[in-house]
Amino acid sequence: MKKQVLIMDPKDNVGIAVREIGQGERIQGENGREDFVALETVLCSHKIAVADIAEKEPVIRYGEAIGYATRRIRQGEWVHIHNLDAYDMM
Amino acid sequence: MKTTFMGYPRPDGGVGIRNYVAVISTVSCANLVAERIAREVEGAVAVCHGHGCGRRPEREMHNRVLAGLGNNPNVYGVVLVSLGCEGTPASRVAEEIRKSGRPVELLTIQEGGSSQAVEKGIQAARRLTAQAGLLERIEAPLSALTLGMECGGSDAFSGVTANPAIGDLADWLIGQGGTAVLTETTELIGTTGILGRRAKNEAVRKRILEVVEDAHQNTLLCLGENAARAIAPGNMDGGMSTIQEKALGCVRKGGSSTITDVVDYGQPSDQKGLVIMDGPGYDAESLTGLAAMGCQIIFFSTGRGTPLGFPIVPVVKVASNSALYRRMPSDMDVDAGQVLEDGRSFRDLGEEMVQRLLATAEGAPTKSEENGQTSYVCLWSYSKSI
Repeated sequence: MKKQVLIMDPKDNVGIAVREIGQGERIQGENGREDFVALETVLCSHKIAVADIAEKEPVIRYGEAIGYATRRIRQGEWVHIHNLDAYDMM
Repeated sequence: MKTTFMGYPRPDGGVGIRNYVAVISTVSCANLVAERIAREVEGAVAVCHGHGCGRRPEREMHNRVLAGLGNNPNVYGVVLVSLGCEGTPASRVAEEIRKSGRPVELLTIQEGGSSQAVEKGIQAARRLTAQAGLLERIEAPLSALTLGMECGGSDAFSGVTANPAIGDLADWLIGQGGTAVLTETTELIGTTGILGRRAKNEAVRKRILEVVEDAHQNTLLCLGENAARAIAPGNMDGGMSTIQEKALGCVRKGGSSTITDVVDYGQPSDQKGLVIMDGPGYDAESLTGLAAMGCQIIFFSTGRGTPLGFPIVPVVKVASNSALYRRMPSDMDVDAGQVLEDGRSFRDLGEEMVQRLLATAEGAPTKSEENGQTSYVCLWSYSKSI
């Protein structure tokens, strides 16, 4: 039986879907969080927000920022290039 | 737990986990002769490449890399095949290898033609393999091992399963007094803060920042201002969103040890512990640098799958997901995707990785070795050909 979502670090606000997660699926909370519901389909190996993330706030994976939210992201939303962008490195 | 392994002692103090006679071409014009020699002699392997002439900025680096390949601990002795007029100073490369105490036979094709060179080369290789065959494995400390770490054809699970598993292996080997080498500088962009904090001292920290900034500038030059989003389409389909995310996953395979040194591409280090080798992200060039700087074994994480190995260094392929492990059974050695299953822990996988490293060190063939391995290697090159 496959795990659902893998979270690499307690500071992370996104987790990795270990298999495809269906809209409305209940996700087991980790690191002291309550269970929550997937708001949309999240493909296998894609990211799902495990906490609410405000606009411009860092998206955290591995305990480090991988970029910032380009708009408010709700817990249970799919997180990818439509709502996450890299910090400008110039 | 084992603290030793059985390996081949070398005159320079290194310990091999294989015992090859390497037939190395100094220039691409000599490749066929090198291949024909190696084909005829059991225990000899050809090391061929596309360079050796026509590129000035890389020349010194390429000379160092060719000598480094000859001096890899897995190599007993070398037949060096030169054309005669190439840019690579063949006799100097031969001298660099002889300094390690290894026997080197130098052939020049222009002195008597291909057939004669092949014939002489076969005789030389037979002499060397006969000597090599007399050498027996002896007990050696695990601290004699240098592990190279590579990732290629990554997917979003590379940074979740395979890279952390390789990182744990690196930390374990370093705990035994050994060395692990992290490279692919391009993939470290965005992680200097993390890596800098792990530097042994200020000099190493500065050097990390320098090589990563160089790689960053190079990326901007090649890809323009969208460099921060520049990851392969396959990566993006797999759910990876930014280069920082990819880099953080990549850095995971370096474990959590202190960084003791930063060296140039193919340059040996005199330090144990976690070493960064400056180098490109292109797998084939990266493996060559790791082999030239002295890695006896390479663990290679992949999510999309690759058959790539290296002629003189066993490459252990770690699949980031079980579907890949099942799809490419003749190429994958370890299934790191197991940790995605309920009840399978990184600890279980870590034990399997250690056992795999020890077995490979003592002669168990990897999948890429079973596949017969290519003789062709890529040298890092970045200038225009003249």
